[in-house]
Amino acid sequence: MGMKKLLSIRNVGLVLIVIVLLIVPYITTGYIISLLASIFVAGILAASWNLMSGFVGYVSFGHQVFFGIGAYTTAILVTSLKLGEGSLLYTVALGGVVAAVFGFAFGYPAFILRGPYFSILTLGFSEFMYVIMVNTPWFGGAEGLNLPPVYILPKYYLITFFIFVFFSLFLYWMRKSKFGFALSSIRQDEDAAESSGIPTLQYKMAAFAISAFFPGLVGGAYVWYITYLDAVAAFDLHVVVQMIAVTMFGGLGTVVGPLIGAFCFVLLSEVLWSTMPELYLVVLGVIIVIVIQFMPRGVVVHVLNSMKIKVI
Amino acid sequence: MENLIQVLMYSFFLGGIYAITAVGLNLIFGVMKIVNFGHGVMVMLGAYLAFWIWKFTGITPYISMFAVFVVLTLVGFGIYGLLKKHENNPDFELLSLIITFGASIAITNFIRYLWTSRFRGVFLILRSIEIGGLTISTARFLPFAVGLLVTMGLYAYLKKSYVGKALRAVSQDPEAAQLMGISRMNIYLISCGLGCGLAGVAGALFSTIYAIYPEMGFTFTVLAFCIVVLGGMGSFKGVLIASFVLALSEGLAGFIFGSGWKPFATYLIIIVVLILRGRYWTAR
Repeated sequence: MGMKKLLSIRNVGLVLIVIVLLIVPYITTGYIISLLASIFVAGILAASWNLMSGFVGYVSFGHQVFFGIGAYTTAILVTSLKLGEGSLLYTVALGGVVAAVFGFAFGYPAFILRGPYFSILTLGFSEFMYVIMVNTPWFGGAEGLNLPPVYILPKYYLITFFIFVFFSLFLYWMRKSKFGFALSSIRQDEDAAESSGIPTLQYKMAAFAISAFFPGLVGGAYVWYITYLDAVAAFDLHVVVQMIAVTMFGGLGTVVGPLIGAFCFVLLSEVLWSTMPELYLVVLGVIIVIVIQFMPRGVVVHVLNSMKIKVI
Repeated sequence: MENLIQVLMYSFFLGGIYAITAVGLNLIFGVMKIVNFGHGVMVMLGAYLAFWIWKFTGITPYISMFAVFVVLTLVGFGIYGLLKKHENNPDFELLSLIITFGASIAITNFIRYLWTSRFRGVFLILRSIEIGGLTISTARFLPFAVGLLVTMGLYAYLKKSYVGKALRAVSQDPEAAQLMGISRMNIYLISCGLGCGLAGVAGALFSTIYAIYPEMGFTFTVLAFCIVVLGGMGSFKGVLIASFVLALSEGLAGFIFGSGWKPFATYLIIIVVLILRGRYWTAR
């Protein structure tokens, strides 16, 4: 790669954005930091949903379960071992790992199924976990778990930011890798992919584990930030609704779609929350329907395409 | 012991309502090959409609269910209107899932916004029947009887009438059916309308015995899908049996482990059945 290519406007711009975002927690108010953090969270969650549903074509309606598993792993670790703020990174990482293990293990039986059967199975799995968590006192039951009240907003911001950047780079690499091509071949015609010698089950399980890992990390970090967890918040259906809405907003099956989509979406939902909190989910649902009606490939993709920008 | 018999009996009666819901979903699923994720929301809408009619005019849901059926059929046409545009899209299955998902989120929360999450219900005063020392509440028996009647009626209709035959033809082979002069679009429209209308009837019946609330639709979607999966897609008898099996196992789980574990039975059954029988569907 030549110096000229490395110094292209796009790359320099990206580096500048990253530097600015790194300085942000030291110069702005808590509101801006938490707003940016929620953009990263929305982006990570949507991109992980998109990895499974957009790239591989297996629509998951229970993806919030991995967020919940990550959150519960971290919360249980912290409360039962009485851990302090110093253990932040380990516990968050463990949340992601446990979620990935669950994803991998769940994928093995689940990938016998295709289409709507798979979607409903994921939803059933999430609800199943919810019923277990809410009815088992050891996991906090209906009262939930309380974590030590520490102020970690700047750290929370940096964690989500790094996950966001890492995940974006990963997706960018994946798109042109053997792995990425295998996944998209599964989406286009799984039987053909299988008969061309692609071990589809292994690829699907790997993709599912990855798409479970990142929501798990986010769940772990989120628990530290909110310092409280109950089953309703952990396995909230709205988490997956948001993943779908953000992805649909950005562009299904694209790398940048969910990431840019998250930015537009969080700003939009911020406006919605402040103007009509009761109708928030109504508007979200309507947006999902309208976007698919008129721009089934996503608003961001649609707009960028009309500006003659190629979307990856 | 008597308690258990009572619980099992009432669960069994509930199976009649489940049957109507699941048959409606099965119709849409079998003919259009898509999952109407908003199916449970139709049940919820039917329940609320019957409730408000009862509240303001005093007409019982057993009469108003005909009106509910008509209204929900129209809603079903509307749902088809949303889906129609994407029929030839290669990602139709995915898009239809997400469209109905988005619509059901919007409708559920709109209903909550209008009428809050408060539990409501229709209270009918009906005399109980006593058979051999066992008290059978008519209020619980009637929905079951109506449920069976509607399901049987629909079965006969699909078996004998022209529309029924056309529906089955399209579900078996859409292209061949079209070559025989059956309008695929019309059949899709009919199946979507009929399926949603049936869900509405189920909701109207449900409102007479259980509390209704905006989020109930979601439970019904999963439940109905679970029944269809258990009974077999396109199988009338299977769905009927599965409805009762599921209702009974739910009641039993609630009786043994406490009512918080009730949904556990449903989800456990769906997970196990999907995984065990999965190969059977993908092989086809």
